[in-house]
Amino acid sequence: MNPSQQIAALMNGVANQPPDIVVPCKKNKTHSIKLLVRWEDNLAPVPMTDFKIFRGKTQYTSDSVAKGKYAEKKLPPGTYRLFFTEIDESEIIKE
Amino acid sequence: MPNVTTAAGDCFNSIAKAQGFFNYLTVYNHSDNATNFPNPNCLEEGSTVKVPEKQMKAFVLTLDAENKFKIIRKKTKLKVKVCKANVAQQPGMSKVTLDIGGKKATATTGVLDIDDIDASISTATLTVVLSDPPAYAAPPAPSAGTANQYPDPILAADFDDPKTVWPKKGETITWNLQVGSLEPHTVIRGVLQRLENLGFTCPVQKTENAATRRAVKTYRRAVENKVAPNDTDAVADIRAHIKARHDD
Repeated sequence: MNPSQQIAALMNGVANQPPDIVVPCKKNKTHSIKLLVRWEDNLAPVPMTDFKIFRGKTQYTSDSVAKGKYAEKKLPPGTYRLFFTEIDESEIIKE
Repeated sequence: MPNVTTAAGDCFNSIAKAQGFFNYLTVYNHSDNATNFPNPNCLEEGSTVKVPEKQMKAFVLTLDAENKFKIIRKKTKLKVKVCKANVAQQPGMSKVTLDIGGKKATATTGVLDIDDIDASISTATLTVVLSDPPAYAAPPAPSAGTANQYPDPILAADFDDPKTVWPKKGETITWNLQVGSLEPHTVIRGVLQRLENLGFTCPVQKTENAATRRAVKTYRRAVENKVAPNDTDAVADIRAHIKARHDD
């Protein structure tokens, strides 16, 4: 399976679950996400790597982390899932 | 993911990188690779490495906060030791330089390390600038009783003057290194490569012939100090000895 097929298979599991609960935030109607991707050995930023973000079961965006960083504002509420399409699961950890 | 047939210069680092992995252990620990290849940096040309399929992982993001990730990688290291043919000593040198893919290491001793090389590069250059060879001891002064009785004794210094013979001070020797090409000592080519590296000229091939037997015989005489008329001079006779001498 290529990365896209794997993501589709993983997201099929999400689709079978109850819909993601969206609790409207009273203070902020929109949200932001920030990503920081670094090498484990020296904590230097990773020059570039591709990712896909899904909101619920739908693909929200497909972009790249540049110099270790990515940020996006004004996201509607929801549950967001991130896939690094070039990195094996055994080679990445969330801090 | 297709399996990979190894070529000269391949190691698990270079194979993992070519297949999009950051850590060679992801490939090395897959299936029976670790059993088939006890040394991940010593692969026989033409053997098959099994490559795993990349597995995706879903991370649920935290909104309005920074989501931090770490990528686990293994850097590829290169270490080169310069020594005399007897392995124990290093030659007299004023400077030694190792260059691989634009990364350089310089030292005045015989050991050079580069911590993070590009795993896909399989050639490097080693340059040694020689220093003065050790001076010969001065000949003893003739005693009064023997003066003019005989001509001066001939000494090594008379015909082997360090100022005139090779190597001279400041002379440069350059080698082109084939990085990652050393095969395991368990195969014929691996033993012949080690013979070559230690200065015993021979063809590096998959079969034995008169030339390889000659090199083995020379090695046994020079290093193992064994001269037996019934020796077969087969590569297998020196396999363990040359592995210990060359690799350890």
